Amino acid sequence: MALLDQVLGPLEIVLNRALGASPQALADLEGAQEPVALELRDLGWAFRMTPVNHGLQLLPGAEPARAGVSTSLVGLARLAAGEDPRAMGTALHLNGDAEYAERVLGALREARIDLQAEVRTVLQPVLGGQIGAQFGQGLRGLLDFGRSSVRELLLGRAADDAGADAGGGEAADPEQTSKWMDLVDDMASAVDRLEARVRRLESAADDQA
Amino acid sequence: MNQKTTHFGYAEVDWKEKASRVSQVFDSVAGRYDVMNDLMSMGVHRAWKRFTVDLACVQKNDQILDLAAGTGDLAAAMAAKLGPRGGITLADYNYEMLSRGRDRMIDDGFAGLATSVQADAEALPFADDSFDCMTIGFGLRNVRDKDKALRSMLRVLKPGGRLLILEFSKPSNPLLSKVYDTYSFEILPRMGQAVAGDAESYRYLAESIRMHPDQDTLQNMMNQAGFERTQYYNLTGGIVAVHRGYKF
Repeated sequence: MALLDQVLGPLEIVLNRALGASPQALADLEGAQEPVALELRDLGWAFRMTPVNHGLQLLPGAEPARAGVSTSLVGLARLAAGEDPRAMGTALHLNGDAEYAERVLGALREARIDLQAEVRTVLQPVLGGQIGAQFGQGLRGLLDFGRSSVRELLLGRAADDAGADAGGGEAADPEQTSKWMDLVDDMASAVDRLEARVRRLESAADDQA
Repeated sequence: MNQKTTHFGYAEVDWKEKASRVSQVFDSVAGRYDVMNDLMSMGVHRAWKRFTVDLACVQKNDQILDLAAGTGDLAAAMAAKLGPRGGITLADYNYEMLSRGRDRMIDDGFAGLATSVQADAEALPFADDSFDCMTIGFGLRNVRDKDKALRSMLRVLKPGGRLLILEFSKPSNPLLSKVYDTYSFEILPRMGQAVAGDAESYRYLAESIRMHPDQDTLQNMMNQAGFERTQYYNLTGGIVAVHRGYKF
């Protein structure tokens, strides 16, 4: 799954949390129903922000949209921090119904979102959270559980073998057990690589901050 | 499959029988349901639910319906965001689970905001356009006629309202998928036996997840039912997905 798809959910949550805290910003969006496309040139990302009852819905892709905004990540941060798009010159390009785009951007400005402060909130669930915590911790837990379960199953098998009625109970098939252990080992290596990658990304983010 | 049968896990059962068999499963696991959720998901189900609640973007005055409310995890998290003019209705087909959800809401101090209704998702006993937001967490796969249930949900949703479906889905990574399969069919039932004293119910859980429509199929079903601007988010590599759709 593309990084943009992973980011959109947390980004929407951040935007709507800020909009929800600003009744004026939500009021500015009232009645607006059509999407504004946002292209982040430096990241190659394009998504649509569509006003809904409780804020904005973010959907991947630039089409269809009533208006389009093309800028960089820094440009987006400047916009979110309250800068007037008309004063941003070539850092921002509007197309389509520019008045409508300014209205939606105006609501975001009103909400005063500190995207730089929120960038961790947006990315952490993706890097540290969804991959790091869920894949890392979750799968690590799964692996640990898998290992201990295999041990228990092997012990169960040994107990069954020792018993008079072999073949009863929940004993694992040796071939199945071996396959499971291979999977556990493969996954362990994958998790190690993934965690190392997440650490590198996090330290890169720290360096930039 | 003809019209009189449906899936109960991998088994094909009589249409009328599924509801009672699903009820038996939840009667059996209700007492250890939360503990088992933590064990089975290594605690990650809390993150899945938090994401769903954040995405629901509950407003203070919202009227919310939490379907398949179970022990009230989603309902309690959403109720915490409501103001005194908001309200939340917990609905579940299973009385045992609903009782635990209702008790949870009382214990957490949300008695004034919450109502409990034993209800069938296929025929929701609410007026048209009643709710701003609707959630169903790990419940849709137990419903017999999902299309009918989705239409029923759409009917009771207010225009502009949103439905969020948190449900097990299909992992996108083949390696994860293999490990997940082994985990589900080899480990999970044994864990169910050890902790809840019930391997069969957890075998049903694994089977029902495999029989549940994948991400794109469910999104299409939502579109067919009349939801708009539908989308889904994969969580934990697609083991779970959150689908969302709006009524306009």
